[in-house]
Amino acid sequence: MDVKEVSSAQVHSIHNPFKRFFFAKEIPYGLAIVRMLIPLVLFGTVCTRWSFSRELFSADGAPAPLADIFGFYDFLPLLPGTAAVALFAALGFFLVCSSLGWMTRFSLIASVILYVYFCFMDSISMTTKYSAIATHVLFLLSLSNCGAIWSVDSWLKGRQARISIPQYTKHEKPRFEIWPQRLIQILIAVIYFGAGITKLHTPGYLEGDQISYWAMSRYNNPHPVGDFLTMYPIILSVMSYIAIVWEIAFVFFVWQKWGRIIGLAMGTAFHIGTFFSLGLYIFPMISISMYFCFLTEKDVQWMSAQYRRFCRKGHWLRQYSAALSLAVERLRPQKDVGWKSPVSWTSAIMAVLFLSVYVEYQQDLYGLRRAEGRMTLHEVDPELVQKMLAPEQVMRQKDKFLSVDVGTQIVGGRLTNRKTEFMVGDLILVQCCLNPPHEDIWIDCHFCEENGRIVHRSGNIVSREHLRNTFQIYANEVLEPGKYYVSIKSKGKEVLRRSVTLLPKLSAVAN
Amino acid sequence: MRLLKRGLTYLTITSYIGILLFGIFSHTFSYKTGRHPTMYYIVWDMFCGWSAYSIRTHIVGEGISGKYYELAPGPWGEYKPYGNLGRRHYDTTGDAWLRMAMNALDKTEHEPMLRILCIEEAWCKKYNLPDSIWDQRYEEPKDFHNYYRLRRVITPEGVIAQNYVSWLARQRYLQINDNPRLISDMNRARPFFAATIGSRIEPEGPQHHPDVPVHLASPVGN
Repeated sequence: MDVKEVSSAQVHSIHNPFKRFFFAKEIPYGLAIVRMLIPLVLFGTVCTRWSFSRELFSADGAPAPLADIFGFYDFLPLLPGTAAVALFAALGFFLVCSSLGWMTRFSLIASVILYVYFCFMDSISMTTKYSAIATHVLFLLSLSNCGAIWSVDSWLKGRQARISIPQYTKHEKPRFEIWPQRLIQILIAVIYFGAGITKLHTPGYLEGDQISYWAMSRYNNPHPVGDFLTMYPIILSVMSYIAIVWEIAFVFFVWQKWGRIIGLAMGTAFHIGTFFSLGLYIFPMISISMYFCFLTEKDVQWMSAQYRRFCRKGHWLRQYSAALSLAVERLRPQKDVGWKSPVSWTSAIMAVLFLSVYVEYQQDLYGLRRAEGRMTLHEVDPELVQKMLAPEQVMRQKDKFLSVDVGTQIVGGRLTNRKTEFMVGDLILVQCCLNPPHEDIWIDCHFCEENGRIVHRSGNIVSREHLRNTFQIYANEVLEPGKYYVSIKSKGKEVLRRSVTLLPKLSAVAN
Repeated sequence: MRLLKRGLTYLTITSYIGILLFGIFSHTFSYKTGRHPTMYYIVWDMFCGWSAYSIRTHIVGEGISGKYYELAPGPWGEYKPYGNLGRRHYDTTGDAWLRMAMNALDKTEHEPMLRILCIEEAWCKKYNLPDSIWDQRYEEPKDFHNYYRLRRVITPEGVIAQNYVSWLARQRYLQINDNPRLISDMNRARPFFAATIGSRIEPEGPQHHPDVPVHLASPVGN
């Protein structure tokens, strides 16, 4: 190819956005970081489940195949207990190898296959959206050259390359087409778009009710911030709006210069927020790890330049850095050890398989080999059984009500300033929140003196599709300053109460 | 070879993006989202909605002596996948209850069983709030009350003898039925003999319609 042809090809390729987007060549820094992080997070989930793997995934336990829920019975074969235990341990090994970049491609392919299998075997404790996302990422990583840098494979290969090429030749990191990286980016954008669509479909999402109930639930890890935020539903509502706009807009601006920074920063904040407010641990780790696929070669070069500049200023740092690279070089295997890697890898996987079977046998999950015989079932407290088998109970009225709040300001249908003290002459707003589901319900709102005498009475029908009703009480001048309370009644019974204090109206001081 | 490789790359890119877009389309218009288990991997319904009530599951076996035994968790303990709750509590569809019960019976020493009962426990989520938050928001002390509902009766041989709707579905039903006009219309439309010529007791065909979304009970956002 002559010079003219080359330049014409370059011009052509530059003018083709599709080609430029998918087939530009870059050093896969971002993918390498994703490869290191995602399998490591999944390895953690494998470790916590391994000791129960016989029960969760095998024919010798109580698996819950995902396909059964869709009506595809016996979609995948159920393995015997020992085989499931060994393969689950192998999955852990493959994930570690993927993270280290040891026999990278094979480890990633094996990880995808086993991970999908085990997710399909237990829809209760293994199949979640983070596992679905991680499966996509592992699959795309297995198509990429993510093991070409920052991996055991590249480390071993580097030694050979250094020996074979002349000393004066500068050793450069390999470049590859970036389409697998782009596909992970597109996956992230599509996931957010889909999640946005789900939120649009979810009634009560934008009002913050759904998040509020999630924060009150105990299905995830502890989340004290979420508990606290339930007191401020307007914040949850605002956050819900921001989240839905960001999720839907993400796909449109993430490939812009500043859009990428803003989108990823918001995403990181969002996922860290779910950690504290909803008690999600694994999902944020997976999501934030995936964000590294947006890292470009230029970003890494810029960061390296900053680091070098920093090193130049700090002499001690340069020394440590040099000592560290020297130590790494010393550790690097000597010449002609490339063949040893697959052998060591095979030996390691054999050892993992053998050890896992042995340890699990010793562990004896079900206690079938105990000297004292099989385990016995625990008896249930007869009183509890009596309660459980009692005739159906009608739901209490008070359980249909979530809360009552008193204040003076409403934003977005939510009371924003909860108060207990009011001035005579104020318009007091009493907001009563109900739990779904509830029937069409009549609610009485009584404003009473401390001794129980009703001074204002109002009522309203709240239809089944509404979760809030606001009553207005005008604290007119005939009311004496003092202590009062708001009583919310349903079917003649008080379900909630809120105390308020009326303060005397301050008159203008004659000057 | 190079052309073939490039062709395969194009095919991979277009197929993958095509599959992702089909997932979005399917989810947006609720079209065949429950068609196949693999749809779970392309439908991004991370926020299926949360109810106002906490639900827990009890699986107990009734022995011939009249004593009741805990079948889930088994005496060996229970895996807690996403927090402090045992695995059985995340299975609100109840697909694995039978397997859990039979596994516990299979692996333990016990008296012969008469029946296995799957019971749901529910309570209002507001009672989950920590005391410090409760005291700021409510003047009343916590008046925790839980409701129980029998969901399933299983024979010791592992045959499902009775099946009932969930506590939440039952509450919705009761509340919709709290309407005399609706009940009167329903009763008027109901034939005296509960049969139609040629009908069967149980309709044939798949129980799960492919267009009906499948929402797993597990906390999918975790």
